[in-house]
Amino acid sequence: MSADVYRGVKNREPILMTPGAIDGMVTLEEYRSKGAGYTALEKALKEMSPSEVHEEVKTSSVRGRGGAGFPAGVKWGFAPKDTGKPTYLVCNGDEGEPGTFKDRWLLRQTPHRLVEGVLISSYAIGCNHAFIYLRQEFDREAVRMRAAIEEARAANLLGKNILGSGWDCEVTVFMGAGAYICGEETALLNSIEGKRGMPRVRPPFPAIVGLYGCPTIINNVETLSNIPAIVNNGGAWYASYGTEKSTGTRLFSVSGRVANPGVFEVEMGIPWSDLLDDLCGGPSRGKPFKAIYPGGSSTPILEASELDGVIMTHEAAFELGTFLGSGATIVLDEDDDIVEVVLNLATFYKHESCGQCTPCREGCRWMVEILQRIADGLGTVDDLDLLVDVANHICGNTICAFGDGAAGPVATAVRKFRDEFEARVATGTAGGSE
Amino acid sequence: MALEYSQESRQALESMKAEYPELRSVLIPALKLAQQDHGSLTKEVIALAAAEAGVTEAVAAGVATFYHNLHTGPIGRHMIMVCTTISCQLAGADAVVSRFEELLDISIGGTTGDGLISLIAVECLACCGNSPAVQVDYDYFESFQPEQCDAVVEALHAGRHPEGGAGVPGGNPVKGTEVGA
Repeated sequence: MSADVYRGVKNREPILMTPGAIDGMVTLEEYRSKGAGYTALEKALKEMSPSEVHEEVKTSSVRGRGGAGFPAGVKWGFAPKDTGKPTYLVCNGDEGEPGTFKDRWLLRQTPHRLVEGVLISSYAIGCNHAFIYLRQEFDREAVRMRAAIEEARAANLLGKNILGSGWDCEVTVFMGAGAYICGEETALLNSIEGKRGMPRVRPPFPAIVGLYGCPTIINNVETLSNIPAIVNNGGAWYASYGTEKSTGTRLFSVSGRVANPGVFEVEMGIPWSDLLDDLCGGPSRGKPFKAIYPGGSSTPILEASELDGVIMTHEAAFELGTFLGSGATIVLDEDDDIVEVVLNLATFYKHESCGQCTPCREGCRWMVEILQRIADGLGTVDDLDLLVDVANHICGNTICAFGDGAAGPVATAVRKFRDEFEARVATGTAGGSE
Repeated sequence: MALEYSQESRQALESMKAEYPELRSVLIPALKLAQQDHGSLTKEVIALAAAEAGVTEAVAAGVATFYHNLHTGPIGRHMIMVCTTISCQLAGADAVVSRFEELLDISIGGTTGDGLISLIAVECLACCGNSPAVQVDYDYFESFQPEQCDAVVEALHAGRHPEGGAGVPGGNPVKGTEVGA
């Protein structure tokens, strides 16, 4: 299956999609024979202090793979150590951004590597109880994660006095109950606390006041899965992959109109064409690409030509007015109707808005109503300006980033593909095949 | 008669209580188990979960009405969930929905008259590379085609779990373990 094909990192060893990972390292025995096998945990506990582990992660400059791209080592440094309260580590496995399916791959293929990453990171930040939050739909993945945790416990790699070090750490899998917003880190914490999944006002940031009011670090599944390799090989080794500011490799989930969709590990800094044309095999139905959501449905859409000659880095994406997000690349071709695509995604956001902030709750609904009117052939040219106006009143006016993620792509799509929207208003019929 | 949890659910709840630093964290699992045991989250069922987590019924009702997979109204014993978000939509999710609607003689969002199957459109299942994606109870079906709908419905009617799901080998074939099933 395409999702299991690795062809991303050129002339270098892959970090995440290693042959063993593609083959599957589900049991402890498999992780020992085909992967790091908890050698990084052993190294950290026996040869390194927590701050030495933290230093390696800082040196690696690995950035968060959940969407915001914040450097993990810097984030870890925000948790105070002298509060007298416990510190918690929470692994965010609520993967729900439309277009993203890389974390599910990691959970299924390399559950022990994630457990090892969680344990090492817990050691570094002084945490004795970590949580792995999975969306409810990942039931089978939860089965694997829990089995890995129990195997690790039986091998004294988790629980009390790990490997005789005197250090204890528990890991608990918490299942969501169906809510995209719980991927937002403070909504996720509320969910673990048995509350409605509504984001919290910041400050205070969760590193200071997080789970149960205690210092809490929240990292994505992919971010934490990189930690064993960083500890075993050093932060400088990791940073030798990629570019100076966008280090390492990352997993891209590519879907839509490409011949070979799937999860690919690519070294940061390669041209986008390497991913879309070489790895994904170009267009799936012979039609040229028209538009691309580079990092998920919350990242502003690009005209396909905007990526010509552009390399895959956080900075290059930022210059184009978009983001690498969670690495969820959704590709549209000439026959896809932008109005229908934007309506589909607007409907998603309307459904998933937690309803806490008025601009988001009301604005997401109005964007769908206006888009539906346009799609039905009942819109006017003024509706296009109204749509952008509503979007602009959501952006920046909400507690969390959901509002910007919902509205930014709508406003960008209307701006970049205004001719298609105007044609739909004028003729009342779809421009693409959808 | 006062509602109770099944013995299995009771055991799962008790071990969870020991796992979390604060009792309130068992609220969502308690609601899920209550829903599993009693079909849907009526006022009485919510009260059962609220008592376990040490919160008021109002707080528990607030949580029960927030999450998509907690149901306060009647739902089918089996759930067919079709992803209709963008990548699945591009790959033909609408045709899958139509075929299920036709076979079950209900509209999307509805439940069959015998209470056996609910058909729901869901948001992104994180399976966009092999779209369209359908989840039947706990099991994922990837690259799902309308022709496969018949076999799924037939299996559920016959009391079997439909074959061809891409669940994790070794997992419980019908129900996952997360709610102690």
